[in-house]
Amino acid sequence: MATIAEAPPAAPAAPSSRGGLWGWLTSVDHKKIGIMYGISAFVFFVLGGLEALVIRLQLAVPDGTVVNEEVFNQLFTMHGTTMVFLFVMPVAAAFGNYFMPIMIGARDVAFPRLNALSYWIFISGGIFISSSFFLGGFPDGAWTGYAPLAQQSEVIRMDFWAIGLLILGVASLLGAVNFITTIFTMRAPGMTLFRMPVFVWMQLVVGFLLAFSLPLVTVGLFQVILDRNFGTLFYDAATGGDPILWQHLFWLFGHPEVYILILPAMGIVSEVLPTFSRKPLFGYQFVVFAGAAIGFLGFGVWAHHMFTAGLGPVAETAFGLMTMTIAVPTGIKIFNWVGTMWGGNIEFTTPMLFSIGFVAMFTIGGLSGVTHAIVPADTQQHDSYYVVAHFHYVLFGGAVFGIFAGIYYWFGKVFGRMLDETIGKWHFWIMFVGFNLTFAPMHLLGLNGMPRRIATYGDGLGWNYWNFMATIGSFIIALSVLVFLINAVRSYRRGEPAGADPWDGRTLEWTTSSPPADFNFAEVPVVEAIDDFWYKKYGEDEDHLPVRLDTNPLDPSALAPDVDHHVHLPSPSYYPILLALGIVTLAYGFLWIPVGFLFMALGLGIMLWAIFGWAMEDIDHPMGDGGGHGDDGGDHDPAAELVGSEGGA
Amino acid sequence: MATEASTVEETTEEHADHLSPASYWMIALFLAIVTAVEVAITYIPGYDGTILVVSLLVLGVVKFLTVVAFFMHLKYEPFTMNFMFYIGLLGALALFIAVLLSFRALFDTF
Amino acid sequence: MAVAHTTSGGLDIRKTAMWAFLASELMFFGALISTFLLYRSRTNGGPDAHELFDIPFTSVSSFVLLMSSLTMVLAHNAWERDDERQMRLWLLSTAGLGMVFLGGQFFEFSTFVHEGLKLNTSPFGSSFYMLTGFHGAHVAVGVLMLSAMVIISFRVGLTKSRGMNVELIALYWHFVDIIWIVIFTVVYLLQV
Repeated sequence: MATIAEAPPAAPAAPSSRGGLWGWLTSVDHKKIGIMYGISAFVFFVLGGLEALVIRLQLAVPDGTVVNEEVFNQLFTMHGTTMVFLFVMPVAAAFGNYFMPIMIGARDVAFPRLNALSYWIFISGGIFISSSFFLGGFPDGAWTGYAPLAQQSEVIRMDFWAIGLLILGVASLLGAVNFITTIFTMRAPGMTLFRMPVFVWMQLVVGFLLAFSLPLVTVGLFQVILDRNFGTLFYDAATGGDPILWQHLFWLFGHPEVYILILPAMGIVSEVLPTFSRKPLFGYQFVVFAGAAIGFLGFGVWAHHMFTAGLGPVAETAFGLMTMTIAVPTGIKIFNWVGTMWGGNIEFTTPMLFSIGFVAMFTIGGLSGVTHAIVPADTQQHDSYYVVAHFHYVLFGGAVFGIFAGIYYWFGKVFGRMLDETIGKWHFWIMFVGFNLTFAPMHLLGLNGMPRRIATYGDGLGWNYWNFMATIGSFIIALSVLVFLINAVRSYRRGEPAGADPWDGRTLEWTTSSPPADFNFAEVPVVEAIDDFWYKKYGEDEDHLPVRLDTNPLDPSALAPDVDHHVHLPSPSYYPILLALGIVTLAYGFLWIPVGFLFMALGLGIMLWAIFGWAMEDIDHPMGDGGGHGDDGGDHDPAAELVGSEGGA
Repeated sequence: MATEASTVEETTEEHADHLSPASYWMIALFLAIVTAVEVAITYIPGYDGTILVVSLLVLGVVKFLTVVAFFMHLKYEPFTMNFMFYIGLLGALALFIAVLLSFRALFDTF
Repeated sequence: MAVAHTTSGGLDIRKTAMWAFLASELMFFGALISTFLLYRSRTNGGPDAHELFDIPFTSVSSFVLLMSSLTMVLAHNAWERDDERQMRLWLLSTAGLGMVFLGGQFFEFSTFVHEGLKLNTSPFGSSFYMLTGFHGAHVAVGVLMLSAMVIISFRVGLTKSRGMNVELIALYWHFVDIIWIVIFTVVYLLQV
């Protein structure tokens, strides 16, 4: 393949605007923001994983004495909360931020500062909620925070939880609006909606899911906070409140949320499988429509989390049927992925292994999900380890495997050096074994009656053996994560240079340098088909096999990296991080009223300063050096470059 | 200069269909009249129960859609914006009717 | 301020974002309204809607807010014609009407509290104040933004080439109005 001879240095390309820490803190570049999301998410992955290991240690043997019930409750609450809100969602944001704009031929997202704000709000929210550890203890009401339990704790833990989730919700909502707008308005010429990569489609669907589901849990969370702090009676049964309302509001969000967790990974797999089968995605339109259908139907099944709440036979039947229905678009995707691989020229690279693993493990998890749809069966499965098995198969075997597929696939593009394939394969197989050893037995444990969220269990119940094996499995998973970390650190420093197109890819990100220049494309691509890049590289012979054409369709920035392409970019700004700081100051203040009033006032002041500064930024004092290459200041129009007219001074 | 996406070539008249100030006054008058009617019918003795509920809902919907279509200009906007708004609206309606039904509270409250 | 513009697909970036945001807000208020509908008759021995509500008074409030939508659209219209003086006039009127509305809300709530309906009296009280409180907060934010626009207009000028902020604020303000239309109908007029 025609790739550039010399790869850029391993460190992320030095920002042309400003360097060092300040450069990162004020960056509005979607790629930097993506990297920050990714690294932060990974730190939380490790923290959440450590919480899981302690849980497994406690449950390894009957009558465990590693931690007491109080601590145990905090552990499973934080494990769930951390993994869902601080790992899987941000990692999807990482990939979405970095690659969605490039895949549609744009130079950034629609609102770069808002994008930075989303990140800074996320990380402050994550730190806020985790800081509870030092300030009274982790939240302990489970990641689902059911009423009236959540209202009862005297300690401020559940306030940390509710407020923390509100903060995180704001970050996601802003991100969703940003992504939706970007995808609708900033595609390169010729990039119609139905020529976009499936990964981008999934980000669009996720954006809508976030926009429509977050407000619902927001209302619920405010009600929790009001009940806990202002004596309101939303969930007070004695006076006419109804705790079931919380369940509805939570799960109206919670169910779309699980699709928010899985669709990005499905998008990644939909890119990886074609690349390493050297065939187009089978049934592209079906995969897109199925994804949209899953999103849409996902709003209609929430009460299947409430089959034991006494909804009555009519509601239960309706939701049971809807839940079975949602298996159909999911199944369509699985068949299309298999169809993609069928007859392909398969290359078993690490990302491919993780993607195939995804398809297999997600299918298993989906099958246990279908058993949940059968109401009488679910009545027994509910709140047992069977459920734990189900969601770990779809979330770990599904989302996490998909995420690692993405990491192995795109690491080289982001950092300029490839992850080691040999170590990668070790990572995969160790993780595969560990994962299955941990979670497969949980199906049995659940069906044998083991409830979830119990700190310990008695001897002689028949649960000892598989709990012990699951604990061993969890440590094998931990070993595999260690292997990955070793791979990541080694490869970052001295991995093989990636070049622009190491995998002979199909989508636009492979036309850029590795890492891409600040401005992504020196020349905005003009798109003529799905997988346009592939068809610029390959024609077909009479047997429809690909034939390499005599072309080198990389972006000029990849072909000639040292040339200054004079693209003007949005200026960095410190207002996003400032605004996030104000918000979290306000939040901390709220927890310690009346002393906290001072902090609340301070927080509000900082927020107003940030908002005002942000709004006025362009008029009075354009920040710093204006960013980008060859800025000639003043009249230049940055958006023209962002949205696809010919760039350059 | 601007950090948000912006453009040099400002479209002078993005929406071809523009209502005049006079039209807006007329629409406002219409809305005021509908409001007056709404309030008035709640005072009519004997005009209550289902018929009142339905009338008020209909009148409310008329006001709602009038503001959305004309003041918010949605009638003249591209499909995408309409799509987002109506999906949100219909979604909200469907979901909350479902929730209230499950509490058997929908018809109690009216 | 950044300048308005169209991009691929003929869609304006900021307007698209605002409509996406407003669609999301529909869900938010939908949840608040539904909570109220669920709890409207759970009065825990405290006062109920029938005793408290003063329909004539609230009708006037509603009328005020409706008219503020008119002044808002006139402000937008003036801005489109590059008539900055008129625009400021109508923006100020909108903000003013908004403040009258808020004053009315404040007065109404004080009366209710006086007559025994507090935030923690009953689920009815909690959900009523939460719904109208959040709505009022949205109005207040709108008033602040309108005032800011007037100030910016005096300071730097807010002609059409400077961006679509008036149009965006107008969308937000009308949205707050249509939510009130729903609240007025469903909470006040449709009492048990």
